[in-house]
Amino acid sequence: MILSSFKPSELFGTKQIYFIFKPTLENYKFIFHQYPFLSYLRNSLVVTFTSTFLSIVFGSLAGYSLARFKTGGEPLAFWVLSTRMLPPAAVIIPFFMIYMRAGLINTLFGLIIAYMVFNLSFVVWMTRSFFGEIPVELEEAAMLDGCSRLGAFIRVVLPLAKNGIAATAVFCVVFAWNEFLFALVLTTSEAAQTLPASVNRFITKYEIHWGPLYAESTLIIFPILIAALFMQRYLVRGLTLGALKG
Amino acid sequence: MIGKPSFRLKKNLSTYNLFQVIFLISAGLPVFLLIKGLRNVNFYSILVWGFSLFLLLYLFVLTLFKDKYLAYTLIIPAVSILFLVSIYPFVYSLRASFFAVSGINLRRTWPFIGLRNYISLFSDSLFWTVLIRTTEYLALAVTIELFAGLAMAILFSKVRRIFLSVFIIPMMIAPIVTGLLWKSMFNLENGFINKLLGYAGFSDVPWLTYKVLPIFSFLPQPYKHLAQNLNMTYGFFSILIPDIWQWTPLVALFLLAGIKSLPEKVFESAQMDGAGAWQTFRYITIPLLKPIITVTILIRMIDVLKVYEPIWAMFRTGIGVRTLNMQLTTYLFRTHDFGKGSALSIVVLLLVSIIITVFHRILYRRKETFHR
Repeated sequence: MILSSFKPSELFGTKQIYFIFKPTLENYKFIFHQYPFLSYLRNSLVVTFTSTFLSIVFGSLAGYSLARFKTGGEPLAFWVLSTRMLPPAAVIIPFFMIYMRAGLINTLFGLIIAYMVFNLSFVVWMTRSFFGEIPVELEEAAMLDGCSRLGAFIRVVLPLAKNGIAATAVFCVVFAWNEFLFALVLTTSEAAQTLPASVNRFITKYEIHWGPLYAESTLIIFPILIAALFMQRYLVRGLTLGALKG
Repeated sequence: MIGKPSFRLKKNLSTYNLFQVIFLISAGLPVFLLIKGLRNVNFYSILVWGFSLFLLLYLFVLTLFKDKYLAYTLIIPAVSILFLVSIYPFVYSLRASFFAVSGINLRRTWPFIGLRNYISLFSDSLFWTVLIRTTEYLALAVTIELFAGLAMAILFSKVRRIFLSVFIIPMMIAPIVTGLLWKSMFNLENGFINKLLGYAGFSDVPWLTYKVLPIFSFLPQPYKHLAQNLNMTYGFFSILIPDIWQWTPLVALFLLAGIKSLPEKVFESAQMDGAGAWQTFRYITIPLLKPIITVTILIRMIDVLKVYEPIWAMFRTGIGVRTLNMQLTTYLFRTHDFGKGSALSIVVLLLVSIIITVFHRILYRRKETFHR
């Protein structure tokens, strides 16, 4: 696919597959100049990072509360997790109706809210298991030294759980960056559409513009593959929602 | 007498400030968005304002109460957001499923029609076809992934962990890109797969069509039709293959983590007792791996029920390969019958919540501390 993104466009309609050809940048030129790639990129970046940031802040606070104080017990924790297990397609119709009435269709804020929910439950669940592993004695020692509980959380627990939280954040970024269905349904134009949903535009009723499509797909997966290197260690854990530790 | 240490009041200003700055930023973001969206003042801007006010209030409460009620002040924002965005839509669609909702004009008052949405849903043969197809997809995808993953895990159990990072690549690719990639590879004119099969001496395979598989094509007509209805078509398998390609490595990674954690001594004693490789595998590895296999199956089931993008990329909402997810979005894009769509969402949510409950039971069966 990466190879194909450098392919000249006249080679796509033929019956042959070419592995050796003269590389060209015309597909990339096309998406940067004649296609609002940059605004899609901006939307993707804004939505991904804002939703990740907000869900990490709220999620890790709630995760700490669930891990230390056992607020609401196991049922509350599992309810939080279960909101992530629902198929997005099953909630997209009520989301669409509510957004339509609230005027949130095709706004970045609307997308951020939608992504935040899915990431929030994930963050709560993950940080809960990370915080649970940190011995309470450390916090108690800090509190004996005059810290408040909140201070102990910020100064002792957070630095210790730093790596886990960072991996969780990378996961959130990947989820939000790759998300397709909400972006497809809840946005309509380049004002708020993200990259995965915009790939769709190269497939028209009459033909598929494979060249630019490959170019954009390459640009979508490239940052994620780099991010994937960072979270190898936490991958199994993240994808099983903490049920397994790899 | 031990009094409260006086230095407790002295707080490290820098860390507290950092904490507050984080919250100010998160409160500032919606305000920034608001300024950008000031042109149309509507419910949306009220919502943004509400959100930022909520954040400021929260910041205030957190610094005011400090440790008092900390358990609750920490959890309130997350739970209230989750509640607003998961319970409210559920109730909303539950309500909408009893009305005739027109997708064309949502603001019009909805006429109440009772259970008619559900009745027309269940009497529609398409619903049952789609349900059967989804079940089949679920069963086939999970089974194949499990066996292929087990084989992969055993093959790679001696390999260093670093090399396994290759496994991650398919999982991290955006699903829509995976779908498009497979669409281009399945292409009938210059698709990579047919070319490869051609070199191996096979004839062209009609991927992405609703043709019945060759093993069933000798059947006389009514049975052939039955095979088509039971999804023994090329199209069904072309939506199955990308999912298997993408997620088998994950199953392999889970099982690999399980195999690595097995105690070494059991295998040694089995070897001493003269057990062969197959016997060891069948009577020791599999029973020991059972809990992990169960968790893997459940997680895959939940994830397979979410599969959407590859099918969309290949067929859009093509009627021959519609799963429940595709059927749900047809109400959005095609028929605009949101009442019926809501009814179907409720049905799907109930089905999924059954699976989630089973998941919960199995995951926490051994924990006595779990109280309900």
